[in-house]
Amino acid sequence: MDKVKKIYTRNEFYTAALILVLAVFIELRSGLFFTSNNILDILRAMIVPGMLGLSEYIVMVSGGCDVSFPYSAALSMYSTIILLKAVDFMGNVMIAFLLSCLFGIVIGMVNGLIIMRYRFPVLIVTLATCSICQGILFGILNAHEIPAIPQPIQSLAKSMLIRTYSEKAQMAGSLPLVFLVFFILTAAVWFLMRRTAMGRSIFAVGGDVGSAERIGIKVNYVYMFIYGFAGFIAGLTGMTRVVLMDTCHPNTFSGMDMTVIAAVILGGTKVTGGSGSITGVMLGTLLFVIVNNSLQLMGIPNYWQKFFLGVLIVLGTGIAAFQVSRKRKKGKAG
Amino acid sequence: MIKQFKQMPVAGNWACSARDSVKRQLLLVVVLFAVMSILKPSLFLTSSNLNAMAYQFPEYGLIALGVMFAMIAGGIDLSLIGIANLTAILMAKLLILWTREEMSGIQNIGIFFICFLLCMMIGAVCGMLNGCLISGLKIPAMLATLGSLQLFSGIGMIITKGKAITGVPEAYVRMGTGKLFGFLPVPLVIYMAAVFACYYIMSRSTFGMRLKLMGTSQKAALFAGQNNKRTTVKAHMAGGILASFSGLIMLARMNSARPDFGSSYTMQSILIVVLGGVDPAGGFGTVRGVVLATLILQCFSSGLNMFPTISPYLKQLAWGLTLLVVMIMNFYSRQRKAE
Repeated sequence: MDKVKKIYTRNEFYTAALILVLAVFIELRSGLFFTSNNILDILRAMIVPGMLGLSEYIVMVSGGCDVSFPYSAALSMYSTIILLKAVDFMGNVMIAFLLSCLFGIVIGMVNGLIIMRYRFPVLIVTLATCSICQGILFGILNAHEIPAIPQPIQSLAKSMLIRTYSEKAQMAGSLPLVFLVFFILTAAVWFLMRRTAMGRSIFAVGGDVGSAERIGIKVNYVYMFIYGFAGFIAGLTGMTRVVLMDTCHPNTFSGMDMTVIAAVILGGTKVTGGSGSITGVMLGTLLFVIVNNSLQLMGIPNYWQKFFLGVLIVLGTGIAAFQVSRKRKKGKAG
Repeated sequence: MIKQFKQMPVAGNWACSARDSVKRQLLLVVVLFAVMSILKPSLFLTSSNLNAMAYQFPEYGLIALGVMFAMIAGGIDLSLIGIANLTAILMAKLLILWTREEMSGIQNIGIFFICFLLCMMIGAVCGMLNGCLISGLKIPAMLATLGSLQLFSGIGMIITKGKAITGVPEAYVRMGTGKLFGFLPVPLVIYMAAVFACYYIMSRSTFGMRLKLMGTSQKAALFAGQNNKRTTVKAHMAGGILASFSGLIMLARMNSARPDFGSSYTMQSILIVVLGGVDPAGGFGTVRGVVLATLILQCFSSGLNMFPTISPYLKQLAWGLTLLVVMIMNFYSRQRKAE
């Protein structure tokens, strides 16, 4: 009985319920939701926001809010591609991924260094680095779309994990091979956060920096790790995006910051830090992807998207905050 | 432990370094102005350039003043550009709906005045929503305003169906881009009026005092018998009203309204406020500092525009770097003062 009660009070429960309601509603209206190609489409659309969501999740558990990832991902992706094109790259695709991750780590380390040394508000620091990345990308590198990406990446873009054909929708669906990257990353982040000392330290720092310091956690080291790892994920996501789109567009991530942050919050990660689960992140991302993908299926014009997004963010954060304050009141009474 | 103690911000020190920083800023404005004038006298020191500057900075200057209120209260407001765009869109809609060709000047002015009041109210209501989300539901200010930014621009998107609204009555455009007494641009007059009002609120009114106390310590303010919820809501309402003024100016200058206009203003306004010496943790800030920071930014960006070889995107690089450098400089000067 106690366990059932616990599930009710969790944000993940509401998000999952909302997803279910939405799915049934769309199925009833269009009859095209539970087709193999739509489900594969949704899984495919989850890859990039899901990966970015994982990086935001780690930062948010530590008590910060990173907004630099759209342009740090774009910058590491773009500089990797121009570097590879300059040397007429023909080798293993892994090298492209590694290079992009390396760029991402460097950008993340800059964030981490400033936050570690000065303890400024994370949002302001990452807003500044976001602006700097944007300036480097468009001002110095003169970024524009590169449609002809190196050969090894192109061949990866064409390899699929699953191919299906849905009789009902008369459409073929497919899941690209890079879905595995997303899957492995999710497992790795789960292992990091739940099974290692570093993960526990991140939760502790997010709960209370002062207490974490007193029990002997090297907070500066943890901060460096968090932002370095977030940068790593950003770089990885950049390359994955290139593979998915089969082209390299510098503006491909712009505007994604809000959706990703909102998805993570809707999944029950506390913005004040110290709490959150990967299941929640995935559910939040799934909800947003369904809303994005399915507005057309339901016949709602595209320009309503932003409004729904805003309502979801305000509702999601509102429910979470309301529950915290109610719990606190209960604690006082009991 | 001792090291930690030193890093703690003390209100007195902020005030002390603020006096220095105002001097530093004034010097920076003069130096920037002089350097630009010497480098490009034929372009920078012309009346048309100075005019253009006077028309540009009130837009984001007003938004920066709004962010200042939120930041002194201990939060931040990222939704102001959304409020500005929403009011601009609604104003455009109302004006197109209500004005007719054959109306006389007096009637026009009457309608403008009614629309103006309505838009101010919309700004205030939007700000109130922010304040209620933050103080009532206890959502962190950053996230609440991030969400409401989406909400406001989403509503704008729905009203305009994603397109720009054009065809604003010419009388309005003429009024908004005209000059008072032949030499004072109307946006500048509105900006100056707002600055005086903010100055009065921050330094002479009870609300200003309460705001600073709350920003310094929520708990202390609560124990002093203040209604923190009310103060937060009021601070965000002030921000919303200032943003709606900014929206009205933008509508007159662009002669059109779009839900996604001025997305770079958020970054710019935070930069101005931090550059202006407002404590990002809340509790301290001066209107004087913010106004001077606005002037610095305008001189800098107008100056950069004089060099056509420099990409406009490099400005963003410069903004980001400046923000970090200023914050680090403030950190060290505060630390020195503490010792």
